[in-house]
Amino acid sequence: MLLEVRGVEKGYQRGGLFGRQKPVPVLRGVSLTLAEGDTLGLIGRSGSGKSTLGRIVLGLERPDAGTVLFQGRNLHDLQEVDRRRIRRDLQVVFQDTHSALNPRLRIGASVAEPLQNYERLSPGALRDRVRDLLVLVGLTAADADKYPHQFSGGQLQRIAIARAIALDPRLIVLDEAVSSLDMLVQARILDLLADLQRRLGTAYLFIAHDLRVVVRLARRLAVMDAGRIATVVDLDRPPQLPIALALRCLMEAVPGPPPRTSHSVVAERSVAAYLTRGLGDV
Amino acid sequence: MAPDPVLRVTNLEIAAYGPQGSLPLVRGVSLSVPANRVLGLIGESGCGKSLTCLGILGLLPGNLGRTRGEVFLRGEAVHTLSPEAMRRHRGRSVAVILQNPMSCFDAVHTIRQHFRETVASHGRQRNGRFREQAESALHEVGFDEPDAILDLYPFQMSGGMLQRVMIALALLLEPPLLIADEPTTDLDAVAQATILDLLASLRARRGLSVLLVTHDLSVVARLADDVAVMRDGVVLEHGPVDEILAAPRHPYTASLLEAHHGLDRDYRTHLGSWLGSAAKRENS
Repeated sequence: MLLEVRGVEKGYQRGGLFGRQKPVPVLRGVSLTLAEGDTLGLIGRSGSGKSTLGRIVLGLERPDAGTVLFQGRNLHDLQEVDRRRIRRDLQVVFQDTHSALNPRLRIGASVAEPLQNYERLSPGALRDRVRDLLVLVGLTAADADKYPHQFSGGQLQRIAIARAIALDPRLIVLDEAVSSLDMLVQARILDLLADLQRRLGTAYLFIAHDLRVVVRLARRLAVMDAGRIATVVDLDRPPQLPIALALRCLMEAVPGPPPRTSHSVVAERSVAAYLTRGLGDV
Repeated sequence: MAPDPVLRVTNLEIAAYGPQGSLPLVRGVSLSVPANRVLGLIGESGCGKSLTCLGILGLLPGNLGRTRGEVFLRGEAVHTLSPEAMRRHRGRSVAVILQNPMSCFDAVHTIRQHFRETVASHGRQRNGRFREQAESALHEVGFDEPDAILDLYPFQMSGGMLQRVMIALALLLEPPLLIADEPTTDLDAVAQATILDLLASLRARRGLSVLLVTHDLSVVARLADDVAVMRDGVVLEHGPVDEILAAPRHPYTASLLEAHHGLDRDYRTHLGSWLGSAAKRENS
């Protein structure tokens, strides 16, 4: 098993230096597993503990109790040398694209950073790798010389993905990675992630609150509610009844589709052209 | 003659001033929001939706400016007003709610103090009715115990709760127009549905007009009467929602719709038997 979360508990201290109060529990006995190359959708309302769990899985925070095993080793009890090795296999893409990249660094330099940290490459080889990564996510080699402000939100997210896959990690935590993008761009980024997974075999822990978006990438869903895993469902199996309340609430909140279009007015061809236009355009 | 629309924008141009001269970001936008109607303004991030709103409100940041075009609130030209005169319009003729409710509140003040400040800054004295007004505004946005809410600090509330408080504050002075800039984008799906229901009921009850900025076509389909589709600082098409969603004239609108339908189709396919079981259970 690539990732095994066992009975993780986490609480945050309330109050300041004075007037300490009882910690607010954020995670209460959370357990889940994720296999190599697989995707687990982690969904739930805001405040249900999804992002805290994501941060613990990334090793950014320590659990109060319980363990997180990554490739069979306790993530929060590692020797420095193991930690360095494991960080390479564990990457993240966050929601806020604009704060994820240094505004003063050219894109090429941002994408090259993890490679410089872990691999000794000649300047020429490094440039080639960066170019390949940008092309892989649908951008062009020339984009390496531009600055973040010259890109749209969707393009910035592609750059963040390029940086996350640079070291060929085994697991990427996608924390609301498409939530702030419009539907057209969301759909394209989700397609890109699915395509990269097929090619590279990276596992995803996909954190989101929109069920429509999650099921596009994940067949297995863990639904969180008030710090607990309310239910884990496998969409390839028949529904286990009764369906957990937390999941039913999320299902009911999915808005209906916009009314159908009669395509008589717009030629199908021009629509197709828009949808398949150079990936880097989004 | 038809009455003046609550909001009319004609040929609005907004440009950024930089060392290389001015760069047009909003290029000739015309919009109109008639009384008691909701106009959905849709487009991808960076297309100029939010700038258009700031331009209407007279709140453009220093390095940006209106280079051309007019803004009328109930027939009155407001683009020529002084900042002080425009300030009096905000809150009274037009109110605004934004995407991130967390950053719209001052963390060291209770909700009660926020209500007091809003009332005071518009020169209404704090008479005995203040408390009543605040409580009824909170009640209207769905709080069953408004009294308890008034004593809370912003950080003690969820994003969805704060957005409802924001709406209550925005509507305190009973403006005829509400500009809602991505009001549900930062909220989870369940809170999102609550806010949309609330806006729909306020519009029905108060005859409120709304300029609703969003990137989600389902939100437009759910709430708006008219829609304007923006891209690269230009309005591509503008008209009644039913007509535009049924027969988009511009390929960009069509591709946006197609993306939505694709997502929805996949969702229903992937979750098919689960959705069926959930529905059956509710009916039984």
